[in-house]
Amino acid sequence: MLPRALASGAPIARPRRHRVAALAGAFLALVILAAVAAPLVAPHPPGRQQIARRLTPPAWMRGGSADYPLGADQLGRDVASRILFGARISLTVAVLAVGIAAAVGVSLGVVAGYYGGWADRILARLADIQLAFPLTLLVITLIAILGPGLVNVVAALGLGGWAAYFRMTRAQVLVVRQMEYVMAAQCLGVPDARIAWRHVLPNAVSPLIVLASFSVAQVIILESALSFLGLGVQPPTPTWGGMLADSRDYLAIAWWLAAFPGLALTLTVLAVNLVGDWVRDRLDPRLVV
Amino acid sequence: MLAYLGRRAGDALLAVLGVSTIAFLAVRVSGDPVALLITEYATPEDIARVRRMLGLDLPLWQQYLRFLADALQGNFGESLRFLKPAAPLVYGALPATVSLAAAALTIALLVGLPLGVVAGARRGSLVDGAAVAMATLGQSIPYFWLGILLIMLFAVHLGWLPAFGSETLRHLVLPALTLSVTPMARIARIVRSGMVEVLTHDYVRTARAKGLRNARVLVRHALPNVAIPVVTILALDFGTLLGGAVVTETIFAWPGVGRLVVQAIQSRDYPVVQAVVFYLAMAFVVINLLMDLAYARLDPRIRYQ
Repeated sequence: MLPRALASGAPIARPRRHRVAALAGAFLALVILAAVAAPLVAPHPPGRQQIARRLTPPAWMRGGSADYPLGADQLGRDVASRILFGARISLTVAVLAVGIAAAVGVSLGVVAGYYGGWADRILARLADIQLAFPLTLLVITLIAILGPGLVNVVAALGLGGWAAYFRMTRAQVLVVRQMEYVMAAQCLGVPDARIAWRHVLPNAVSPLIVLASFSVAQVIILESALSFLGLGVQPPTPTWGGMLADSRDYLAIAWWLAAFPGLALTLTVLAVNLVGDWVRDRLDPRLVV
Repeated sequence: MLAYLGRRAGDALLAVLGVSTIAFLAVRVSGDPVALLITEYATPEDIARVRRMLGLDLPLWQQYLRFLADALQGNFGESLRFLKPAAPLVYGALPATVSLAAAALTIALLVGLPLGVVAGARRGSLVDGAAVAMATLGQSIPYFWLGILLIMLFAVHLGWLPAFGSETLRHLVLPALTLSVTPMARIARIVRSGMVEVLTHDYVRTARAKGLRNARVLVRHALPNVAIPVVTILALDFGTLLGGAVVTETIFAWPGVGRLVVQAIQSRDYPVVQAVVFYLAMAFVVINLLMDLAYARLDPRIRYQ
């Protein structure tokens, strides 16, 4: 038996965290696979209405049918198929929006941090101002300007997220720029652009990966929230948020309409967060969590 | 200190200016506001008259200055949906949102703080494991799903609490609970990792060596040193809370600013959108400033230069 002091310490807890992260990673891989293969694995096309089957309960309940494993909605559409196709929207928006935010923020951050000067001052002030404003409200305001729809949701979430990447990249670049190997490269006459991208950025990338992994979770929730409010991707395209919004009128008679899309959403976000925790542990072992 | 205050106030002013510029552009970019006001029978003269009335015939920079001057006086024009001035609509909805947010933060603190202290003090124990699991889940569950689950359980099945409306205090329970979960999880997490760190310090060992009871060591010696990150989180969470309120109010038909702005966006009622965005930005910026100043009281080592 271990001494109590050792038993309560971090080294013992770590392997459990790894197992949880591996499980989360596997689940995430499954979600991605299911989203990609949705047209092949979904029992029905997501928009097909079978009014005769409306509000069919899940397969294991009385009145359920194996044809509709997780039940059917108020228009007789298969809940399972819609969840699978909804995953495509959630993941596509998350990857594109985080990609745009990171690309814009990191590029500007490298330039601002490496060169400094007035562009740096203006960009830093702009980022401060944007970060002083709640993201949800900013995104909703942008949607009010751009209008709903897939492209606009991606644009709003992407534009709303650049500032965090900018600030972090800039701070990292300011540190790395002073390193001896960068000065050595400068002395050797390596062009600035090459130094910035080949020598500075790769050494500043760890916290950016951590930030990106957590913002994927945030973007998935925000996209669903927008769809839930009717400001996101519009029906008839199936989205998890949209399914939850529709479910509200049937809470007393069809619990499965709310339960399964919400479960898919929560588990996916949970998995992304757990993988993010693990990435942070790996890249920044100094952190006590 | 004064110089610092000045700089922060300048930043705050810039932030509000930036946000109101977005709000101003919202109307101009997303189509002609006049189109929303006229019927299909309107003649070109009618349209020109409405444009003149709204000041839309002026050059853009003049419109902008006019908008800013009006905004500073709390004049955002008339709501296109309610045909009433937009600003009073926002004032009217504000108390509902404030009471919801305050109730949610209170629940979050009452649960999150003790949970974080106990988990941090007994790191690696069963309580700690449960607290970490709850905090992780709490950060991952979306407001709107949690709200729906709570309605299904407490309103539909058990019939204990009302699902919609705002007439009595009982109506506040479910929305406040829904909105409290994310900040609760964050507070528990931050307090826990703060406690883990603080408990390794010499002054904690000294306090224990003096023979103080464990509870007193935790509450009097360790907890105050965890206060700064908690206040930071509360300040940051105020923004998240506003965002969450938008969704929560929509689910529970809670008559606050969040529901007002969603309905305004859906019906393209731009004066109301502008007013809400302007006031929320103001509130957010002011609260951030106050939190910043609170640091100096909480930690005497902090000096503003």
